[in-house]
Amino acid sequence: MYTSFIILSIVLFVNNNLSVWAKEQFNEDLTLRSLSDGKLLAHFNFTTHVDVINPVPGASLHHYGLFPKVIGQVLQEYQVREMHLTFTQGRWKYDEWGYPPEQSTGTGVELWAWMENSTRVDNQWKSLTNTLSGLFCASLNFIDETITTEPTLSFQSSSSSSFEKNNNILLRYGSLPHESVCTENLTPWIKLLPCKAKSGIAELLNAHKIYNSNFHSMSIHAKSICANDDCTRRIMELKQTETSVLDPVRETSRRDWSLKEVFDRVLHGACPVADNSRVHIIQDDSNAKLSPELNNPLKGYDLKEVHDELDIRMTWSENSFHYPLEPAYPIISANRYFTGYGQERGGLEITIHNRNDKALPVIYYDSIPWYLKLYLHTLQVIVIDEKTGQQQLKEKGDIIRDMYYQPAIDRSRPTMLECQLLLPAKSIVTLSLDFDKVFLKYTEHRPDANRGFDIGSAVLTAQLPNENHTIRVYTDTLLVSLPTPDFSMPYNVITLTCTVIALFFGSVFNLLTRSFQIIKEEKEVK
Amino acid sequence: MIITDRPSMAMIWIALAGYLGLYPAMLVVPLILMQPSSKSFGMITTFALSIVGLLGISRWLVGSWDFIAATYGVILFLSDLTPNTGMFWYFFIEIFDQFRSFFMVVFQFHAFIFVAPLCIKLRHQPLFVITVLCGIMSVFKSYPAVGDAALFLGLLPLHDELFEYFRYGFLITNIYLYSSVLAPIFWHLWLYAGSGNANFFYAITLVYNLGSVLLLIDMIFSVLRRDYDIENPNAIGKHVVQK
Repeated sequence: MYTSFIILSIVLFVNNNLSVWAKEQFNEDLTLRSLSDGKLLAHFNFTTHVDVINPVPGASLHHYGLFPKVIGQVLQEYQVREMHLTFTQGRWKYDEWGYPPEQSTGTGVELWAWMENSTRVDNQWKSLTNTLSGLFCASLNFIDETITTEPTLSFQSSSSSSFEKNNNILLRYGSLPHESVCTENLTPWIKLLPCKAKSGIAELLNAHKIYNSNFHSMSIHAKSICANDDCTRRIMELKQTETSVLDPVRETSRRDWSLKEVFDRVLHGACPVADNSRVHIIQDDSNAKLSPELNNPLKGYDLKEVHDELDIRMTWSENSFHYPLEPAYPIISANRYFTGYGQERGGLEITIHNRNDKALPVIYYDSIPWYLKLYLHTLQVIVIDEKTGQQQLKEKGDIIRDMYYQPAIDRSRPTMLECQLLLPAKSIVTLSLDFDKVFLKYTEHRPDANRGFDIGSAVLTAQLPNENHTIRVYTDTLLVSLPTPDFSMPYNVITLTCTVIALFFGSVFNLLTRSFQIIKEEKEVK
Repeated sequence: MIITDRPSMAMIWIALAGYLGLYPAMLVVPLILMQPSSKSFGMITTFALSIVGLLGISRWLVGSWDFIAATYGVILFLSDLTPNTGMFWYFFIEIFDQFRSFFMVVFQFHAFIFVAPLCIKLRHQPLFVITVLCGIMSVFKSYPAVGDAALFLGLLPLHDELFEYFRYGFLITNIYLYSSVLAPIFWHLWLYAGSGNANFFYAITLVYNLGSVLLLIDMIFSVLRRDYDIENPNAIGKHVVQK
């Protein structure tokens, strides 16, 4: 008995010293805000934070508690330092709702990752997209080299270790604007949470209600970064957010909302493993009445103190809602669209509004697929003063300070255009480019060929005055119709073309190889 | 005159034409046939040296051999499928991937194989062979244009003695006029008006190429018939058949 006790204590002692020591923390948060046009913005935020102390730098984490093992293994296997995956459906109206709580609002799926610099980066990126595709039941495996780009100025890493940021990590970005989001994507996302959908704030995630909204966006941000320069302390963080813009006015023509009406569920308490579990209400309008009453509006409702049911309700004493006439224009907003007509060529224009009093530097990033051949020499910049509407005469070099351009290679890589722009104060800047449309092969068209092809959002990265973090503004996705052949014709085309060729070949062959003979005329027999 | 008096200049210019477009290089053979056979070796070396010199200048300007894949590779392997007046583009848009390489080889081979038989059969009329080869290039090149047809039709009056032997002259003239008028209309209908589809424009290119093909066949028939009439004067005006 003593020997077994001694052996057990030795084993535990050895285990403790060899393994990494991790401290885990899970916070969940819900922010509800009534927007100026009567819609309700619901922002769910689930953060798992793990502090790993490695006696051996670079050792892998073996024990996963609250941090999901799948994500940890993905980060480890493919040498990913930072990964951001967002599923979005709908349009975020910057002009009416301001800036979103989560930056990525481009329709479809967006994936970008900072990965360790090695010769196998592209293979690891491909494996990463395939693994995430299986994990989230989405067709992310379509993010291949014809869609992937490497932005140089945008999408900066938030790693605190300067050594890693400068030398060791490479960025890969890909987006699928045509990808649709459905409950098959939400279910594995919920499975990554420690409490799943059984308790805590995640109880409210009712797919029928969340997806019945004007805008919804679900994202995963995973990080595994070194906290100090020799990497003996590592921080792993998983942040899952879900943003929905729901419309109570559509159902009842009143903007009153309650958790039961909006989500068809109520809160029953906090997730037992959560350190913090709060519901924040941002009240812009003092006319609204909130029940149950909040003692401290900044701290919101603490779900750890809720034991049976919590149904939050906000009501107004008006009969019906009147839409506001003045939109709340944000400081930077952008609008991108196609110009031109016909299916041979066209133009791409982006209009950026700067409503700030001072000039603002902005980074414009755009990735155009290879089947639109952009002509960079046709890039034009037009600046219009916001107040007077007059065109200002500015040199192209005054606005475009720096440009990174990667031309497309057919069927191999997209065009990437990244510009550092200096937007003048209170101005509207328009960049325009011309392009030719490519005639695709029969099999390269989609099954619904006449719908056209989706072009992913352009991203504007800016540092707003009075804010300490950069914001990203996403433009709408665009739809371009490329010229289509007649899809019922392969056999006919082959036959007709080969007929003409055979006619020529046969006739010339006959003429060259045979010799003439006079036809003998028959004499009439009298 | 250039060809008979200055054969080396002719070789340099044809080397330039072949360097720019690849297909004109097959005109070297009839050009060599125009000269007495003693000069042929000198002409071949001039041609080869010109080609090597031009490729060398390109290599020096570009810095590597990548330009070959981007220029001759595109001509041979048809990387771009923009519609033109030729027969390749729609064929290679519609064809399935597993047959692409086979038909590519067949089409490119077909464009080049007529040099040998024409030069053998018509070796006493190399200028005519040049005209016919220009016609073949204007139809069976991978990216032809109306300029190629203009070159071919411009060389045609050199052989006006053949015009009386043409069998389909009226038909060919009408086909050229008809397709010249309709081709821009159908292009506009397909890409800008949206009321036609690709088949309209494809059909017109087919008709245009059929007209050129008929003209080529008629020219070859005429030259052979005229030679037969010169050899057998009793056959003038009589019907003949080929055996």
